[in-house]
Amino acid sequence: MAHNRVLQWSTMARTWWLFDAQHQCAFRSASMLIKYLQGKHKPIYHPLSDVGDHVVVINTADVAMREDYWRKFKYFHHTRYPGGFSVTSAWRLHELDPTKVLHKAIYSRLPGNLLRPNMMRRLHLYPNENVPTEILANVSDQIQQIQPIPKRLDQYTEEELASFPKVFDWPEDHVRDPGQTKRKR
Amino acid sequence: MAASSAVRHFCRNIPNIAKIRIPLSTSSPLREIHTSTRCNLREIKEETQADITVVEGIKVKSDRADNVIKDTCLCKLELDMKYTDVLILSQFLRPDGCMLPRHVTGVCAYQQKNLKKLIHKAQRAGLMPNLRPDRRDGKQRQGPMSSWKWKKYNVYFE
Ligand SMILES: [Zn+2]
Repeated sequence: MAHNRVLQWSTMARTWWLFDAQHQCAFRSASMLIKYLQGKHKPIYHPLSDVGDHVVVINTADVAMREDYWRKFKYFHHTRYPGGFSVTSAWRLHELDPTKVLHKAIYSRLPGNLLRPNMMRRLHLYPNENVPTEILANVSDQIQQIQPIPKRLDQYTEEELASFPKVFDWPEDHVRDPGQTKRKR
Repeated sequence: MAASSAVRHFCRNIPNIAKIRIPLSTSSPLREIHTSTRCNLREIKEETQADITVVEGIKVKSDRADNVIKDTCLCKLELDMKYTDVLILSQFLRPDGCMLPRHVTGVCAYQQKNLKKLIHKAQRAGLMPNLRPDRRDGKQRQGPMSSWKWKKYNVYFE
């Protein structure tokens, strides 16, 4: 039963996972990634045992947020000095550090015990696809994306646009104007 | 148009403009006024030779006549449309990004309102960058998303 032996190796070893955060919701992917950091996807999981895996996240600069959460989602901080309270919007934090939004989302979702610092050390966040080769050499599997990336209209070819079924035909007295003069405001 | 160019419009020879029916499908009434009957799909063409600009409407055949699913309202198709269905949403837009009116597309009031919402979401997510209305300040757009503060980051809608 060589297969069982390999299964046991992969359970005991720390697997390195790759996750592409392109167009993925920061909060939803955080809830999904903590499962791998805690080792909850393994049958031997126990909250007191340190069996979590490594997760390498790329393209964190291109994470998505729902509707206008970039503007509405706030991070609060107090320095414990008088007047030390500060509020930062998500887009402001993302502008300063493109990995910080995902870092804080994952940190806040992990249980607040003594294992949390070690789990956070096994999380490797990169704003783009430039990952050091010594990190990328360990990666053995990838985590599936949770949201489909929408296709833009200019990414379709002319043939696809022309052959797509049309919902209505032009009325008989319609005047088409391809080089339409832009409306004056 | 330059000041020297003479623009020939059809309405110049007509004594009483108020009597002429101005069709609703016009974007600018000056261009659409006509003396003869018009019952064909037309396309406006501008030709500039030296300092004379001739604006004429040419009869054309509909390019989508054999590719139309059903010439009825969207309700009959029972589509579950999302803001990511840009191939459907872009059919309801003019080349300059404005929405086509209801008597051209033939959809009911509910669907027109729904399309308005979906098109707004698609534009907000940067899915139709080649069909966007101009900026209010007249500047050129740089890329599919806006470059201003929180508007430059990716968004998704439920
Ligand atoms: Zn309807």
